[in-house]
Amino acid sequence: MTYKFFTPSLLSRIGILLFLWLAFTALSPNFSSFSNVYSVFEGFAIAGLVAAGVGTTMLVGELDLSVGSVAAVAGIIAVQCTGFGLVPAVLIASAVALVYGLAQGWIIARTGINSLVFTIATLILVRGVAFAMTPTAVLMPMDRIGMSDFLIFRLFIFSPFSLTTICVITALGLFLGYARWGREMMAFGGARNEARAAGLNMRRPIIIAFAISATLAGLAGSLASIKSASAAPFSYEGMLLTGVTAALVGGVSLYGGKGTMFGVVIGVLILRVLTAGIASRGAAVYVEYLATGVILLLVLVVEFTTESPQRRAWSERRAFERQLAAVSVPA
Amino acid sequence: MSTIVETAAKPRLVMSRAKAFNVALAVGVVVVLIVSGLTQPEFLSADNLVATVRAAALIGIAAVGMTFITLTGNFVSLSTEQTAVITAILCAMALGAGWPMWAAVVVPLAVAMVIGALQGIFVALGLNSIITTLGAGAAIFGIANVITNSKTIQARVPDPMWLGTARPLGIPIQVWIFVVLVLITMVVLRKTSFGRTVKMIGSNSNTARSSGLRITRAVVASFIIASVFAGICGVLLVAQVNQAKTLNFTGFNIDVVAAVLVGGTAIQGGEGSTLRTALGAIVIAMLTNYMLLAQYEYGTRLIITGFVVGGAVIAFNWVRGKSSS
Repeated sequence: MTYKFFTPSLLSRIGILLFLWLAFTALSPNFSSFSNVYSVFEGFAIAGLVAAGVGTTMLVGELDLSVGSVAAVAGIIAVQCTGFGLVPAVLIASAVALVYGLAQGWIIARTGINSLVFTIATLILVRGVAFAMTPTAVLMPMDRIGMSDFLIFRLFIFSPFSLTTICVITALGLFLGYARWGREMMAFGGARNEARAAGLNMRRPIIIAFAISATLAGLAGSLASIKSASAAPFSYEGMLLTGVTAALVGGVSLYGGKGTMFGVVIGVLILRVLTAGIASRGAAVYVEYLATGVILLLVLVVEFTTESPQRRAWSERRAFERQLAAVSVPA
Repeated sequence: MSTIVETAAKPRLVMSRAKAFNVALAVGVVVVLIVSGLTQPEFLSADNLVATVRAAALIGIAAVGMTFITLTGNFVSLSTEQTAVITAILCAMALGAGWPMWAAVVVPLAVAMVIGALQGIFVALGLNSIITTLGAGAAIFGIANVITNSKTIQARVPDPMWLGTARPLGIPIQVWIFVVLVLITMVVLRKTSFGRTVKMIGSNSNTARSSGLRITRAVVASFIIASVFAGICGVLLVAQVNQAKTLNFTGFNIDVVAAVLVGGTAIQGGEGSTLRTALGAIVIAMLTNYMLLAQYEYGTRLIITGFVVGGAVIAFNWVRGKSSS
């Protein structure tokens, strides 16, 4: 297989992750304690699902801004359905999110409206649905509180929640890497015009991508809400920022077609270690917010200087000019 | 010959469609006004109308600024709310520290200008505008919380209150500022080379680039305008309530984006006007006010706003798609 898994950019990201971990451990030895590693992975469990979903829409060259609202609605549905049991509640909530994602993807693919703009409208609408479902607009407690015990049950440094996330992201990575429709999505995201010329289906990749992002956001929202034994209509608003930042840090390109799910995992871990590290230094919550924003801008600049179409066109032009100069000098 | 006739006929069609949008929006405003007046009599009371137009003015000022970003084809800014917040906080802090009023207004607006310029430079380089403004918004909001420690800042001086509460000719001063800014931006977009450049970038950035237009400058200027207009909203709020806190403008981004999109500025850029955005802002403010009076739940209000925005985006996209093919 010519496909290289450990590319230099992925290795450098793993290096950054290890460096951050060692640095924070050196600053506060408690950082590598079992309970802290466990809490880093718990944060990873939520953010990882969202980042994988948002990352998938980025891979096809689109972006789903409505993930936070979808997670809130899914959380409310899951908490209301706990009477059926843990697994059915999560499945029902995720299925609702899947149907919503298919519909959203279909509208975007059908109309060709820019997904950035369309999902701003659905972000408002779905958040409204979350508030409409909880008339008192306050925390909605779960009837069967004991159910959350299963999710916070500790296996070494993992919980059933973080293990679920790892399994889902692995499955998604295999789908994108080896399944026919997954490969089609990567090809479509990297070169849309060429994909059209090659006769690929122009709607299927978009619909699947939005279905995946909504389903994963729904899964994240329902699991997190059951874990905390409550759901609130205003929760998960920061999810979009975390998800996009983590996917970008993990090397998913905003220009489509480039990135791996393993990279997303590394990106989420880098972000979680960083925020956990800042929190361990005793900073307030909004400092984490500030840090995430700054990281997002930094990654954006780095990604732009290395990956963007403009940059690629610029270096091609330079190469052409150099060739031209080489030809014209001897004459 | 027939081709000449067709090409000659087309511009007139485009003009009439643009006019049709304005007429449709204006009719929408009137219909909402009549329906709300009939179903909620207090909607038409003087106090309520003043409150509505004041809300419309704040949304409208920010939305008119954002229209420039949309026209250049860079969609919308998601840092408007945060820019307004930080300007308001700086203004309140400056007034509280005993600065003269002009300095307490000019310096925060200069900060807003720098914030806008930085984002504009990023976007002009080719970075995604939504992600840039999302990140910038998070960073600005974090900074605002750090400098205030998440507490309310009191301006402590009643002097600037005239700016927020005065009503020359019975109309709140915010509305006067809104109207003046709409008129100025209309002239700028139609009559100046900068305005035409902004529209040209949006309708065809490649042509604009190969025609030698200064794209970077125009995009940066658009972000500065949007940012300063958002800052004006922040200053006006401080003048009105004499204090500022980080949660002052919660939900403002949504209202402003909704106003631009309902106003029918083409999301791919190039087509639209600040007058239409102003009408969009009035529609959104009236809708919100009516839903508040009719005691709709917050969730219902968000759902309706979401449907209006999504519907407007799909409808305008459909109309444009039909006409271009």
